[in-house]
Amino acid sequence: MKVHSLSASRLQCGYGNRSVGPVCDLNLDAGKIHAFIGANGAGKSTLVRTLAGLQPAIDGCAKIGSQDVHRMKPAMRAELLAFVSSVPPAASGLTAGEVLGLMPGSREEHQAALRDWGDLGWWESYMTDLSDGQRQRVMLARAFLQGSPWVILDEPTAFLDAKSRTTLYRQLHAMAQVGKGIVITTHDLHLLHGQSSLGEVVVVGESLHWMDPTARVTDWEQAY
Amino acid sequence: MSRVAAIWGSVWLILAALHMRFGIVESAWSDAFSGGDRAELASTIIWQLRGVRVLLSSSAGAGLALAGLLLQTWFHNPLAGPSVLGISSGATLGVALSVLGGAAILGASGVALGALLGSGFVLAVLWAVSQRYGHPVTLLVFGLMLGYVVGAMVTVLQVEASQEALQAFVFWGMGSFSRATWWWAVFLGVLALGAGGWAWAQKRSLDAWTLGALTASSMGVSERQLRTGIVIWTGVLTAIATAACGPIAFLGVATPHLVRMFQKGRSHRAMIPVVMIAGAILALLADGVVRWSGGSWPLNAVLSILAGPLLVYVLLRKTWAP
Repeated sequence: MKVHSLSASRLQCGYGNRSVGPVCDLNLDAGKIHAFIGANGAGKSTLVRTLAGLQPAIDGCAKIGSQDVHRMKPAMRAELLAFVSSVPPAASGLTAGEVLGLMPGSREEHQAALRDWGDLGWWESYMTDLSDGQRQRVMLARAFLQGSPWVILDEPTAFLDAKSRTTLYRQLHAMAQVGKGIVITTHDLHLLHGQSSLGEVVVVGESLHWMDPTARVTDWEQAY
Repeated sequence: MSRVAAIWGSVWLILAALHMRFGIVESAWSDAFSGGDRAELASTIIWQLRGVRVLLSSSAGAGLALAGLLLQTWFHNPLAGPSVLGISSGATLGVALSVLGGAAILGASGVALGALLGSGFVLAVLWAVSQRYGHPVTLLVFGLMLGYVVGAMVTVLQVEASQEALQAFVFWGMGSFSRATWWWAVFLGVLALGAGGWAWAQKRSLDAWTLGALTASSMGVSERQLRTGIVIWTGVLTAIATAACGPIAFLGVATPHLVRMFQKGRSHRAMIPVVMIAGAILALLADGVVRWSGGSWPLNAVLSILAGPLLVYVLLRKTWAP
C-alpha cells in the first residue's frame, strides 16, 4: 500500500487571531508511529487537530501528498484521515453497536472490531453507561474501522487501563506494518519508549525539537 | 423500529378518529355517508371543521417535535427546543407590533402576517449569525438574549396598548388549534414532511454529531451544511407553526423525551419517525382536553400541565442523552 506522507509547511495553529504553539514544518512518512510530546498547554492537541484538518490554520498549510487538508470536502478528508479526540463523547445516546454501525463495513466486521478493542458485551450498551476508558476504546475501534491511510490520535492512552494501552500499541504497530501512517500525542513517555515502528518523536515547545527515538526518556524530558 | 412506529401510528389514528367523531354536535360516521341534508351537515362538521383541526394540530405537533429533536441533537442539550433559537420570540414581537401597534384592522390574517414577518426576520438574522459564529453555545445565548430583548419590547408595547388589543394579544399567546384553515393545515403538513425527509436523509450525520463536533467532522460530516439545514428547517417550521397556532409551549422539548421513555433506540433512524408521530399525538391529546373543556382552557396551559411533570421526571431519571 502506497500512502502519501503528511506534511506541514509554515503551519501556524491557533484560534481566531490567537496563535497557539510554534510555526511548524513537518514531513511525516507513512508506515511509522509519530509522536508529539511536550508540556501541558504547549499546543500538541491544537497541532494535531489542525493537521487533521478539523480546525482552520492561522497561516501555512498541512497536506497529505499534494492535497491540502483544509481545502478538501469533509467526506473526502474522512477517506484519507481518521481522528480520535482526547476526550470520549459524554452525551451520545447511541449504543456502542450503533456508533460502530456508522462506519463502513459489515456487522461482523464491526463486532470483530469491538472484540479487538474492547468487549463484545458492550454492543447493546449505551455509550453513556460505559466508563470513560470503555467509551474511548469504542471510539478507537470506530476510528480504525474508517479504514483511512492516516490515523491521528490525541492522547489515546489517557483513559485506558494498563492492558488496553499495550493492546493499543500492538494495534498501532500492526497498522504501521501494513503501511499506514499514525500520529499520536502522549504523556506516557515510558510506554512510548522502545515501541517498534516508532518514527519521529517531536517535542512541541517554543519551537519543534526532533528527538532521537532511541535516546533515554530523561533525555526527551530535558527538551520540554 | 417499525413495530414501535406502527403502535404509535395506531394510537394517532385512533385519536384522530375520536377527534372527528366527537364534539358538541353529535355526528356519527354513518351520518356522513348516508344520504340527504343530514349527511351534508355531518360531513361538513367532520371534514371541514374537525378534520382540518386534526390535520393542523398533527402537523404542528409533528413539526415542532421534530424541531425539538434536531435542536437537542445540535446543542447536545436535553432542554433545547423550538423556542431556544428565538424564532417564536420573533413571532411574538411581530404579533405584538401588529396587534398592539394598531395594525389590528387586518384581523386574523394580520396576526399571522405579523408572526411570519417577525419570525422570518429573526430567522434571517440567526442564519447570518450562524454563518459567522457557528458555535452552538453562541447560537444558544443569542436566542436566549433575543428572547429577553423581545420580551422587554413586548412589555413596552403592552403598557401603551388599548384594552381590547391587549386582550387579543394575550389570547393569541395562549396558543390554539381552533383557527385552523385547510391552507395553513396543508402547508404546515407539507413542511413537516419535508423537514422529516431532510432529517431522515441526514440521519447518519445527526448520529455522528452526537459524538461531538470534532469526531463528526473527522467522519466526513460537513458542520456548515448540517447547521444550515437545522437552522433553516427548524426555523421555518417554528415560524409557520407559530403563525398558524400561536406560540406552542413545551411540545418540541417534551416529545423526544416522551419517545425515549418508551424505546431503547436513540439513533435518528429510530427516533425521527416516532418523534413526529408522538408529537402529533401529544398535540391531539392536548387539543382533546381543550375541546372537552368547551374550548375555554388555553392550549398552552394544558400542554404545560401535561408536559411539565414529564420533563421533571426525565431529568430525575436522567434518560435524556440525545
